[in-house]
Amino acid sequence: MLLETKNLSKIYTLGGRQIHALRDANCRIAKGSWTTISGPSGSGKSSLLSLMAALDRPTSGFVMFEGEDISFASDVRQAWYRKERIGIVFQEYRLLEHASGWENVAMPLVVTSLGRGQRHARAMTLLERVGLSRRAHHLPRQLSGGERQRVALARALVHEPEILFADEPTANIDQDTATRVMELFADIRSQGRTLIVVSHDPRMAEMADMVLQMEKGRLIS
Amino acid sequence: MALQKHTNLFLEAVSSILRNPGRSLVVFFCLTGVLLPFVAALAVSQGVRAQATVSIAAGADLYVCRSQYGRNGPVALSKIERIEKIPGVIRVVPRIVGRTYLGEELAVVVGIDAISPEGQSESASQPATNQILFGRSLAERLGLSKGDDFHFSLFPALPFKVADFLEPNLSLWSASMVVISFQAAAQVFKLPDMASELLVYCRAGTADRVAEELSSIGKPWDMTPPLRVQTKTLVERYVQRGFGIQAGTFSMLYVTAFGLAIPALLILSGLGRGRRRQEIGIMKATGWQTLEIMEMMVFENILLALMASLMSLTVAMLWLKLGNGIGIAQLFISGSGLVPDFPVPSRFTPLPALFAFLFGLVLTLLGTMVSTWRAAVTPPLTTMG
Repeated sequence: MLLETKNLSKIYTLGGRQIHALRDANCRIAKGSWTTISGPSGSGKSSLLSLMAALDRPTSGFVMFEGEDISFASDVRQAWYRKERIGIVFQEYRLLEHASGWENVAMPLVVTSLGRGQRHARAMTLLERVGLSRRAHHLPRQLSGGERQRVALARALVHEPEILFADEPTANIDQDTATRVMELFADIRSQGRTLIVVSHDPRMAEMADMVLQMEKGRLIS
Repeated sequence: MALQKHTNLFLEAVSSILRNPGRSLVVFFCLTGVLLPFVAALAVSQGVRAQATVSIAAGADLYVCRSQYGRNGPVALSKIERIEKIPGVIRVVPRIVGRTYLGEELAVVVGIDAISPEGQSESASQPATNQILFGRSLAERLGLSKGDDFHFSLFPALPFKVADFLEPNLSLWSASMVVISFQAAAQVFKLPDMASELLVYCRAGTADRVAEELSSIGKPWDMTPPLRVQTKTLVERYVQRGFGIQAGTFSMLYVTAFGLAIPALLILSGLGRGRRRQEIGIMKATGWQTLEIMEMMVFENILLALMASLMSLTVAMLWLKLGNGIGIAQLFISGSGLVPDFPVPSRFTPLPALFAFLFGLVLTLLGTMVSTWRAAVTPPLTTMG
């Protein structure tokens, strides 16, 4: 099993109140599969994805990646996991405002042994793949929502990760762009990569091998 | 391989500075403002010290006066004959150095007759009897011109005529100086047959031996008052130590002010911290390690400190060379006033520049590293907001 969660729980404290974002989530993700996590707003989908991507630490339980507990691993090990094994597309894109499109895409490669020229070439290849090579030197604020989404996708793929996490990748974009993103995901999956997508979009569920349904912080199916 | 990563981080730091011009400029100008007084003050201190050293080098080999309760006292002119007989002595010149008020100005009055064989600055400024040479700044303040009549209130019966001015570029101390003949000075200060000190010029290599001989004058078995002999080296050491203490005191005060400024700068560095935190979160989410983020921040701070120290050095040069050290010279040159009326000496050496850079670096590091580290060790989901 590539990725597995065991009794994963997350409690946030907000204004002295405890909010159970995730309760005892157990799931197993196979290598090369496409998993879509769906459910109503506030059901804990994004929390589950964040914990699986080691963007946050769980309150209890753990995430196993290839048999290794990654949720309580050291800072260095978690950085390695995010740098070498996974790519993440955020719902709000999370691009550096003052960096151009290609610089954003190449951001994960700065901490590698690739020189600027190589990083630029790799970023341009990815931007071409998502149809944005002509917008490579534009700042995020000069791009549309769909274009920013594609820059974020190119950034997530630039280091050829084994798992691609995507949080609501089609939520803020038009239908045509959403279709294009889904085609890209299908292409990524056909390369043998694992996809874990949080989405309300029923088409994302249709294309998935497995759908995890969530409600009130629990995995119900 | 590993070097390439560090190069990437360095270049990313450069890009980060350029990508955030607002944030970079605020830090840069704040740092320059903090470093500027330090660099300028040390340059003045070094300049004054250098000028003092040159003056000493051009002066006499030995300075002789009477020991009066362990301090310098006037020496009788009758000693000259005895000193001139000591082997190695070329010439003995009596000098009177006193201070008196000319109106509201406290002036240094030098009374000297002889022209030294070394041809030092006094030679060009030798007044004839009843002639007086004025430091140009002092003369301007007193409204005196060449040919004007002048007399000291200490001794109004002795009239003088302003013969010429001592240019302030001759030496710093000549700006507020008055030079008259030795005899005239003796009359003004009402101490006939006495001198403040005797300038002793010796043959090369004999000064130490002459000094030893002079020190024996006034021993218990000799019934004359003891003499104080100061060699050129000793005078130089006094001067250097004096400036060292002055510069050291300034540095200490500056460091204290610097320390007090740190909390204020920490608050200042908080400008744009929200966005910086978000950037750090994004970096972490895309696989950067805490140490890699810290390394990039250090590079960024080094570059900003370097630029700010170079800028403060440049502005300090302009301040001292074109602005003549307005507002800073008085810290090191007593009586110079807020706006000095003589060319303020300054000297730029590598050490103050290095100190400025280190101060700047410490300041930026203190302002950014703690917040950066805290953001970097927080889970990316939290820092991204």
